[in-house]
This record gives sequence, structure tokens and C-alpha cells, in this order.
Amino acid sequence: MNGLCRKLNSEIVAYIDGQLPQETTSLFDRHIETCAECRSKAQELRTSMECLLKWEDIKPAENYDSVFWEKINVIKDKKKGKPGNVILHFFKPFNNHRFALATCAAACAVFITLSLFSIEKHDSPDYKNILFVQEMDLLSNMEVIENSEALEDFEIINCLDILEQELNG
Amino acid sequence: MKKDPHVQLMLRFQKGEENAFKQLFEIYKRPLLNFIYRYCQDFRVAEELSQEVFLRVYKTASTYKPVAKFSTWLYRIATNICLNEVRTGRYKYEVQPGSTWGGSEIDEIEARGEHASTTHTEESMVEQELQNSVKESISKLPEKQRIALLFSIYDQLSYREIGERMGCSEGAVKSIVHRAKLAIKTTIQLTKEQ
Repeated sequence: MNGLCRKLNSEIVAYIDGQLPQETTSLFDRHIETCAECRSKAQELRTSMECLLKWEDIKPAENYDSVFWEKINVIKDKKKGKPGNVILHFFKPFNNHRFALATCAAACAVFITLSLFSIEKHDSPDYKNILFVQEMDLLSNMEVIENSEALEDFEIINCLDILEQELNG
Repeated sequence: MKKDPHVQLMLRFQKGEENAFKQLFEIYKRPLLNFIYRYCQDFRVAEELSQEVFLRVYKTASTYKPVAKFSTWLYRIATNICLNEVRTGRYKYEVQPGSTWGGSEIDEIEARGEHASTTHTEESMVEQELQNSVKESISKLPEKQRIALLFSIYDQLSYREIGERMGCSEGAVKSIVHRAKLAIKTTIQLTKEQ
């Protein structure tokens, strides 16, 4: 085995595939005319690859198309009927970064203004008075005050106190 | 790349022309099915995965850019799907020794009259055995070698084109194809000697 044999051995597949430069191919062509071993190797490889070509093509099954177009229809239906699409359509302008940024800034400004207004409202004297009146109103309407039993208990306690004072006195 | 008529069809589909997609489907369904079938050697899986490729094309049409030939883009999707399916292990491709064809598949394909001959002469049986050993050895190749080999043998692509489809360099493809073909050659030689 000389240097050219070794070179062909390492490039034999590319040589058979016709993927080598013209110059190299011609060199190997001339070499295999004189070298029986390399010629045999090249021929074996060619035959083996021809063997692979005997693997026949298959045809799709009869329902292949119908199954596929059904799958496509499912995708189409999803696109059309998905409720989320309406929402996605609404949010489409937000894909534009500038628009999204401007919207965020506006939302922040509104939030801060409302927060300030809310703080001011809670601290104002009027607001405190209103709260006080509301609490008093609630107390005056409490059921326990109106409950006669509770008043009776109160009167009994009161009488007992008076009796105790008289006894002590 | 815009001169590629299939790229033109894809661009028309991108603009909303559904008929253009139908044409692409008709052109590529069979070669794609055969490529995937030879890769996984399972008829049902091949049908499902080839449909998955077209569904991917349909769904991603809006983002399609004509930077390469349409077939390159399509087979790149197919290659990724095949490799992913193996990685996720959803399908089992392992071909059992001596039974490279599932019984139901033989019946199905023969029923459709696609097998050239069913005469069980000694010669055809030897040939069948050889074919089975070829298929078995292909199924045992590492995934990338298998894909590169299929592109090289059945699509007669150059190493550069295979590289474009697989997302590898020309040099890497040369090495992958070299190893794959020598492995197949060894198997065939051994089978013939037996």
C-alpha cells in the first residue's frame, strides 16, 4: 500500500460520491486503473450503495390527505373560535414597545394621582367628622340599648345598689 | 433564493393563498414521507411525523424568510423533528434483528401493490435478506449518520447541501457520510459472505 492508496482509502467515500475536486478525482481514476486492491475497494463500495437504492419508495396511506387536512382544520378552527384571540387582538398594539411604554407611564400617573387624592380625603377634618357621626349613629342604634331585658337588668342592679347604700347607711 | 419556484409558492401562502400550501403539500408529501420512513422504519410513525412537518410549516408560515431553498428549510424542520422524536423517546425505532418489517406493514404495503414482487424464489429471498440487513444496519447508525446517509443516497445531495439541511459544516458532513457508508459497506459485505 503506497501513499496514494492510503490517500484514496481516507477519501474513498467522497471519491465515489463525486465530491472531490476534479484534479483529485482524475488522480484517483488513474490510480485505480493500476491498483487492483483500490479498484476492488471502490467497486465494493459502489455495489453496496447500489444495494441501498433498491429500497423502494412507499406511498402514503389512502387516508393520509384527509387526516392531514382535518388537522389543518382544527388549527383553523382554533384560530377563528378561540376566545383568547379577541383579547390578543385587543393587546396587539402592545407589541409596539413605544406604545406599551407610553401606556405604562400613563397608568402610573393615574395611579399616583388617585393615591394622593385618597390620602388627602382620609386626613381631612370633614372626613373625620363624618366618620365620628357614623360611629355614633351606629352605637345609638345598637340593639343592646333597645333591648328591654338589658334595661331591666340595669334597673335591678341599680335598685340593689340603692338598697345596699340604705342598709349601709 | 427567490427564484426557487417552491419559495415563490411559500411566499404566496404567506400572503394568504391557501392553494399554494396545497401545492407544496402535494409536491413534498411523498419524498418527505419516504425520508422519514427510511429514518424510523415505521410506517405509522413516518406518516405522523411527516404530517407534523407540514403542520409546522403551516403554523410558522408568518415567520418564514426565503433565505434558502424551500426544500432545505423543509428538510431542516424534518431533521429536527426526527432528532427530537428520538430524544424524547416518544417512538421506538429499534428494528428487531431478522424482522425489519413489521407484519402489519408488510400486509398493508403489499395490499397497496407497492412491492414489486412477492414471489418467494430463492433468489428473491437472498435479496430480501440483504435488504433486511441493509435496513437493520441503517437503523443502527447514529442518528446524524443515518440522516446524512439518507440525504446522500436517496436525494443525491452534495455535502454542502446536506450540511445546509442538517445545520452542519461541509467538512462535518463529509466525515459523517464517510463513516456511515463504510459501516453499511461492512455490513453488506458480511451478509454477502454468509
